[in-house]
Amino acid sequence: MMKKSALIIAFIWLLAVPAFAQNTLDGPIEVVSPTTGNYNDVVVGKDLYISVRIDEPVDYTVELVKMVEFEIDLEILDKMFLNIELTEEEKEQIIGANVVRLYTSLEARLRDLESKYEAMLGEDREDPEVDLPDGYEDLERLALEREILNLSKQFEEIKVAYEALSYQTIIEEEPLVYEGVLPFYERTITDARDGSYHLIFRDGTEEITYKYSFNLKTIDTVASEVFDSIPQHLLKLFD
Amino acid sequence: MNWEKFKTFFLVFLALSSIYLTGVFMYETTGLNKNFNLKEFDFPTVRINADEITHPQGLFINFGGDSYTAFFFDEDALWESIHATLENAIQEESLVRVDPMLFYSHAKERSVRIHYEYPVPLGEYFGDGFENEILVDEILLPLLGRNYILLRSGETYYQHRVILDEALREAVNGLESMDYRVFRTIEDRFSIQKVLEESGISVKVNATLIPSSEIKGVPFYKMAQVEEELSLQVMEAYVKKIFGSDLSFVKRMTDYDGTVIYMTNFGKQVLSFSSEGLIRYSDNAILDKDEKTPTTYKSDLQTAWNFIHYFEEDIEGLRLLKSEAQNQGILFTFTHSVAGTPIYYKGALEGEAIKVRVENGAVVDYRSNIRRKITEFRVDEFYGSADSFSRIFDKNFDTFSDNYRDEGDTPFTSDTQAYIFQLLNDIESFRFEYYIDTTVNTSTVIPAWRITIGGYVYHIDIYQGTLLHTGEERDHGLE
Repeated sequence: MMKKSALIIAFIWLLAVPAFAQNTLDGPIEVVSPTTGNYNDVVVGKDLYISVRIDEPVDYTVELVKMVEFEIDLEILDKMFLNIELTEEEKEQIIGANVVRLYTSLEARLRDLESKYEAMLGEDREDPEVDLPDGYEDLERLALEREILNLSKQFEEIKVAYEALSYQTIIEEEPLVYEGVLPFYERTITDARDGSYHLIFRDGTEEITYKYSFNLKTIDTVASEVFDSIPQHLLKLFD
Repeated sequence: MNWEKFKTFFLVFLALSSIYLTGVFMYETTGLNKNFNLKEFDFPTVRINADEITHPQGLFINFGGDSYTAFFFDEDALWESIHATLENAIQEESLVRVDPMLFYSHAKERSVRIHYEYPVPLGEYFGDGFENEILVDEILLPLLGRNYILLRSGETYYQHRVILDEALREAVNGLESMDYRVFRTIEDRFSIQKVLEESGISVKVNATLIPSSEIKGVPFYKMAQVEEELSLQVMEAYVKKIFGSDLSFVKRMTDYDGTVIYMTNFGKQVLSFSSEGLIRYSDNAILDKDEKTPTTYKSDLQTAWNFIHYFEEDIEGLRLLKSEAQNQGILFTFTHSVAGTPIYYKGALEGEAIKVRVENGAVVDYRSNIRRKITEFRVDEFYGSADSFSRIFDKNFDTFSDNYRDEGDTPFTSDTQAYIFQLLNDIESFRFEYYIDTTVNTSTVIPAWRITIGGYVYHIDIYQGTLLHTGEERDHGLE
C-alpha cells in the first residue's frame, strides 16, 4: 500500500514537471501588464502593452512568443516521396512535420494510458477486499506505471522541440535591465492579433525559468463572441 | 493814462490765459477739438466662437480595453461634436446628484472625458445661465448607449440626461481607426496600488494618463523677440489705440528697469511696456463713476473679447482659462495656444497670456504677455522621438523628491521602492504644453510636459527630459 502510494505520488510529480516553470514566480520580477482575466484571457483595444517590474538586479532575459500552428508545405512532401533532393530548409520542415506527428501521437497515447490507470485505480477503490497472491497483484499496474513514466519522459523531450516549432517570436530574447528609479521592462506590440502568447523568462541558461501565458483577444473579437452568443430569436428584436 | 489801462488789461488777459491753458494741460483737453476718448469709444463687436473659447485643457478618450488617448491639441472634429451636443443642453433643474462611483465606473468604459484646469461656470458655458451657478471641473460622456452625462464639481457629482449625437460616436470611431498616441493610466503602467498596500499604505487608484507609445514629430516654434514685438512703431500704434492720434498731453517716461510708460489724466490712464514684453493698461478713471451699468457674465466676456481684438490685431488661438469675480467686476484670464496647444509664458503673468478685468461694463485693467510671428521648425533629424515617461521621471527624480519631501507626507525613506511609488501615485496631472521663458528674451517655444506632483508644477522638455521650470500649483477653487 505504501509502495503503491509512493509510486502514485512519483507519477503525479513527473507529470507535473512541465508545469513547474510556468505557474508563478515568487522572485524579483513581476509581470504588471498584461493582466489576465478568466481563462487567462487578455482583452486589448489595439496594442498589447508589456510591462515587467524588476525589483532587484537580475540576470534574466525575456522573450515574447506566439503559438502558431506548424504547417508543412505539401510540395515538400511530394518532393520527398518522389526522392527529389531537398534543400536544408526543406529537410528541417520534414523534421518539423515528424516532430508534430510524434508529439501528437505521444500525447494521444499518454492520455490513453492515463485513462486506463485511472480506471485501474477506480477498480481497486470499488473492490478493496480483492486479495491477490504476493508478487502478482501489482504487475499489471507496475507495467503501466513504468510505461507511463517512460512515455512522459519522451513526451517532455519532444514537447520542447514541438513548442520551438510552434513559437513565432514577437519580441526577440533580450535582457531585463535593472536601472533608474523605475526599473521596468516595457514594450508595446502594435496591432496585436488574437492568439496564445507566452512571455518566457530565462535565467541566463537555456532553461525556461518562468513562463507567463495568456490568450489575447481584441475588443472586436470579444464583441463578436458576445454577439454570436445571442440567440437568433432575440437578434430579431434588433432588426 | 490809456497806456496804463491797456497794460493792466493785457496783464489780466495773460494771467487768465495762463490759468486756462494750465487747466487744459492738466485735464487733457485742447479746448477746441477732442480727438479720442476710449471711454466713449464704440468697440467693434467681435463674435465669440463659443466652442473655441470653452475648449478644455484636457480631452481624454477611453476606447475600452485599457486603451486611451489624450488631446491637449485642438481636435476640431471631436470638440465641435462635443460642444454641439452640450451647447444649451444643460438645465439647472435637470441636474441630479449621484454617487461618485457612478462617475468612475463609467470612466473605465468607452467614454470621453473633458477636463478643465479651473472650474468653469456650467450654466454660462453650456446652458442659459443658472440661478445658482455650478462650477464644474470635469464632464464625462459615456459612449455605450447611455443617454446621460456625468459632471464633477469638486467632490460633488451630477448626472444630466443628454442624447449624445451620433456624430460624436462617429468622431470617436474615426479616431480609433487612426494611428493615435496611446496613453495609459499610471496604475496600469506600474501597478502601484499593490506595492503600496504590501507596504501597509492604502491608496486610491491613480487614473492620471501618461503616454505609452512613442511620440515623434512634435515641432518647436519660434516667436518674435521683445524688440521686434514691441518696437517703437508698434508701441506707438498701441498708444494711439488708447489715447488717440493726438498725443500732445500724453506723458512718456522710462522707468529704471526699462519699462516705457505712457500716461495721462494725472496717471489715471496708464499704458506701459516692460522690457520683458508685458503690456499693461489700466484705467482708474472709470472707477470714479457713480452710476453702475448692470452687466451679465456674457456681456462682460464680450466686452473683454472686443477690447482684446481691438487692442491686439490679428490675434488667434486664445482660450478662456478662468474667470474670477472681483470687487464689482470679473477678471478673465486667457491662454494663448499654438497649433491648438496652450503656451506657458513664464514671466509676469505666471504662465498666462492675457488678463482682462472688466468692471461696470468697461475694461479697467489689461495685461498681455503674448508673442506673435510664430514660425514652426522641425527637429526630427536631431531628436528622433520624445523621451519616455520612465526616463523623464528618472532624470528629474531628485528634484521631484526634494520638493515632495518638503511637503512632508511620507513615512518612507527616499531610497525605497514604496517611496518612489508613493510619489508616482501623487502625480495629479500630466499634460502637454508649450513653454517659453519671457524673462530671458528667448524666442524659442519648447514642447514640454507639464507635470503636477504634490503642489508643484514642473515643465520638462519632452525631447531632452530636462527640467525647464518649477512652479507652485495655484489654488484652483474647487479641490
